[in-house]
Amino acid sequence: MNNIIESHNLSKVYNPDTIPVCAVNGVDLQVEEGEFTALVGPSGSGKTTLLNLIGGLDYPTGGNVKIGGVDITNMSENKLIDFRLKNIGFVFQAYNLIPVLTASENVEFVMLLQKTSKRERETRAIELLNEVGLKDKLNKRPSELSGGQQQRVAVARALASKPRFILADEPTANLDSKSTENLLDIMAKLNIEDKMTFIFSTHDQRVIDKARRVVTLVDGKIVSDVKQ
Amino acid sequence: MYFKLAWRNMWRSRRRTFITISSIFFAVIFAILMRVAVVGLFDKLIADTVSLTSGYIQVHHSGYWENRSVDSTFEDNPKLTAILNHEKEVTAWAPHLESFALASSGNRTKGIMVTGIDPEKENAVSNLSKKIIAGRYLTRNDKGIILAEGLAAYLKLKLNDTVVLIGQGYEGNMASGKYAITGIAKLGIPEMNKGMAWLPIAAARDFLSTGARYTSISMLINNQARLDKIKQSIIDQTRGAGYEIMTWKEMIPELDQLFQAKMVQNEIMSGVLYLVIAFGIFGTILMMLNERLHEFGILIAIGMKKGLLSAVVVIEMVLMSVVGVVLGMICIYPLVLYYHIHPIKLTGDMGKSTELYNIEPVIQMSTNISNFIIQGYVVLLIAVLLSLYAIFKIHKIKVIEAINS
Amino acid sequence: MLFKIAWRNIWRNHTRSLVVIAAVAVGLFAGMFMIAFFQGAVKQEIDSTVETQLSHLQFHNPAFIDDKDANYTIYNGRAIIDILKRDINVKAVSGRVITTGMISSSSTAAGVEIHGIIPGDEKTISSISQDIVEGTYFTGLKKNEIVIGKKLSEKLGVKLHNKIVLTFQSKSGDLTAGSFRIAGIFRSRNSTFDEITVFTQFGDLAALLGTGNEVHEIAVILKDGQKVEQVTKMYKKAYPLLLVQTWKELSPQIALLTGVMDQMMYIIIGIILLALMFGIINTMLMAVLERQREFGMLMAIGMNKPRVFFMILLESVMLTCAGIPAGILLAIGTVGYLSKHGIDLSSISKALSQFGFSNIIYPDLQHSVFLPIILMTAFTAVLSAIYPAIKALRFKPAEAIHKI
Repeated sequence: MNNIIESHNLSKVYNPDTIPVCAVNGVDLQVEEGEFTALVGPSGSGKTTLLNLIGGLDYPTGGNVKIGGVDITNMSENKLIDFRLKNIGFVFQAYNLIPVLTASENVEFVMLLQKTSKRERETRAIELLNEVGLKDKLNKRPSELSGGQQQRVAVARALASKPRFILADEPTANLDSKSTENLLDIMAKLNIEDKMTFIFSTHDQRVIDKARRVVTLVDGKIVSDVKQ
Repeated sequence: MYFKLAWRNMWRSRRRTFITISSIFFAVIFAILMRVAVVGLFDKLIADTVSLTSGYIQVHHSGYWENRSVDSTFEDNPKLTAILNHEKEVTAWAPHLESFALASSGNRTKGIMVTGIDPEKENAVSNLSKKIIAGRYLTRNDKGIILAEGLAAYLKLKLNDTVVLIGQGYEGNMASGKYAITGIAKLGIPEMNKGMAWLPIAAARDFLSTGARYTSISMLINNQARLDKIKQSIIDQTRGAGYEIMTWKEMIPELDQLFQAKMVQNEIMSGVLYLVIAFGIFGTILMMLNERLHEFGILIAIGMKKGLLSAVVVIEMVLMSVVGVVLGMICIYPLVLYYHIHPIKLTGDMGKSTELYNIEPVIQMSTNISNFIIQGYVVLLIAVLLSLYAIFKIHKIKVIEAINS
Repeated sequence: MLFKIAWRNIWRNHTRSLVVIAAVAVGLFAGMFMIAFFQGAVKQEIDSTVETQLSHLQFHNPAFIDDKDANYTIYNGRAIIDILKRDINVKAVSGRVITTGMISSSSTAAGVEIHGIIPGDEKTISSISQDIVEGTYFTGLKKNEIVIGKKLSEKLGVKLHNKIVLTFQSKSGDLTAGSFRIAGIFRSRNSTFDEITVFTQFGDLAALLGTGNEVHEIAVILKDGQKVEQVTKMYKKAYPLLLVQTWKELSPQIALLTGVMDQMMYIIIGIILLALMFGIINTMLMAVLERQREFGMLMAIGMNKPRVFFMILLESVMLTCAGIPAGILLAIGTVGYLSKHGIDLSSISKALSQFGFSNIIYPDLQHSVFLPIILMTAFTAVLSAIYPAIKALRFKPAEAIHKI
């Protein structure tokens, strides 16, 4: 059992003093290495909140979260930032990249934060961009790339830090169908070939179809957890 | 790469950067202009006053400056002159035998300062011969006198006319003499122009019955900043001889006081100007932070510590400030240099009002670099303060809120 | 309707609006403070000179101004003094006998202007009597007392109760001298004045000069300083042969000071407003760029360009209107406080403080200054909004809406 993510009775309540909203309500979730999992549910189901909690972007109000056996529930902010740097990759819905850096510089950036040597950074950036099919866009800035291409760069960047898993919050929401397919194919390939764990939150049926495990949330609780 | 990041971010919003840099540029230029005008004006005023009277540093008999009496004179001393000649930082020195006297012609009388000079040495210190507008400069053996222009006008005297001097000589003896006007000199400073006269030292000694003595030796130095050090050096070398060495600041404190007062006023003005500019820039920073909140959120999410992020932002801000300051300094220097070589002549009302302060109506801008560099410090200070705000704001960022903005 | 939208728009982004309001307030405050500061400085200069030397107006024999010969007395001076004393506009009058000459002590001599005064009268006119630092103004009991400035006493090397000799030309042209005892030493703000002016009693000096009861100078202080022009005019008419001058005419340089200050003020205000403009343009520009989508949308649904332009200007005007009262309050508060306590320049500059004489400026804000400044600031603020507003109009609705 290789649980890279383990949450126990995880809860997040907003506005406890005024109008309490229980976004995540006692969630027990285990994710193993190599999964390709989708978190689905209607708007307001809490999937984004859950993702944020797992990614250490927010603090739970109840329960705990362990990443690779390390309890991050009460980590200090600075430690969390560091933890994310070393363990978690992120792909957001849009505007993932630093606008003033080129594609390869964006990928290198995360390695720079990890204090990797220049040569290693450069080589690996080229490698990764190659893997996501952007080897001729190395020196382009985000403004010169299409939405789909930007998301692929984001994936390359997420990989660059050699994380335990990659969290993607509605990564295909802004893309047309061709780009969506492209992106999904790449992520699936990385998942199979490099055993990279992916967890998405998504509305998109195409993403759900490609996922091998679908966890459904309604009103902050897991109502179904299906392997397909 | 962080530097690259900061630099490129600066150029991302060219308009914003341009406006920030140009507001600093503009403030720096005005602050410099105001400062060099005041400093320059006073440098000249002090030089003009001091070269004809006290000198930057003066050697006189102990106690002389308190009552300026001819009884408090000292003898010609080759050792002293040797020391002064040897001292590299003293560029010129001139001996004086001076006293108050009443000058009269017909039934007009005026109290004046009459100074016995060594014409050659005096010229090296005060350039007196260049100020002659009628007649000629003195020679050592002349029996005649040079009057300042305003004085001659008041006494209604012209070249070759006779002026009578009455004063108090050595040990209370009455001093009196008649002198033919050899030359008339025009001085820039109004009061001085109305009340000074010069005799060759031999003639002055006769007038005052002092024998081979001086009241003071005035000197010019090459570096204002070392005023006190040079004074100390001379004190050390002349210990025990009964001399007193004073700087112009000790001898004419009102002049220094006026200067300091004007500088403070100037600084308050500049301060206010910078305040307004700082506010404008603050607005810029605020907007920038707002605009980039989303981006900052992402950076923190993927693992950039807030401290590092703050550092990059601060570098941006400092870079812009530096560019603004350096550009300002470089652009304004030629103008300052021009007005240093060709001072501005004040005319009309402005010109007349300077008379009130006994100042020549001329502005000669100072090219001293320190005036420029000080602006750098001020802008740096502003940049630091604004940076603190940016750092504070960044630390308060909540990652999720930022990403969603 | 536009007003409502504009108003609500302002409050959508608190920070941005507050920044503009604050910038306007600070700009206004800065301008007013500067004016108050310099007006205060100038006023002080003028007041102190008027109090110690010039008074509000003076009478002279026209020939006396050029050549202070003892013969040039004021015809019927005593009678004029009596008339002045009875004038309801006049607060105080003093008749003086004046000459130039030499003062000498055992060690040295110096040139001075000697004023022969009647202490009782002079006290009401000149503040020198309050500036006595040693001894007394005049006891009136002894003969040949003299009051000299501190600077002069140091120069002459004399102390209280020492004797000095005054030498000068009498009415008949002979050189006369008199021995005087120092009864008091004064120190005014003007050290040059201290160095060259000495005071003796009227009778003592007149006796030596041979001028009897005649006066060379009549100085007048009015109850209301503003009336000086009128009053002087009246006396000029009454005595066409005499030189009757206001303090401005006596010292044109001082009068010029105010004029010059005014000129400089406008330059300075101009600079400050320019600085203000940078700040506002920037902030408004950013605001406009931020709201691209919104403007595009407005134009798409039918709001024409002039209306959009006007709306933005309106927002700017409202922000300015909010900033102006803030700036005024800040200015009034600060100047109000400082005009009582003064700004001590010596505490700002270490170099100044060593002079002992405190250099305090009392900022002074005249009401006449408010309106021009407010108008100039408002104008600048609105002007600054024009460029951003024009920029907003350049957005093409379709582009703007799709900027998601």
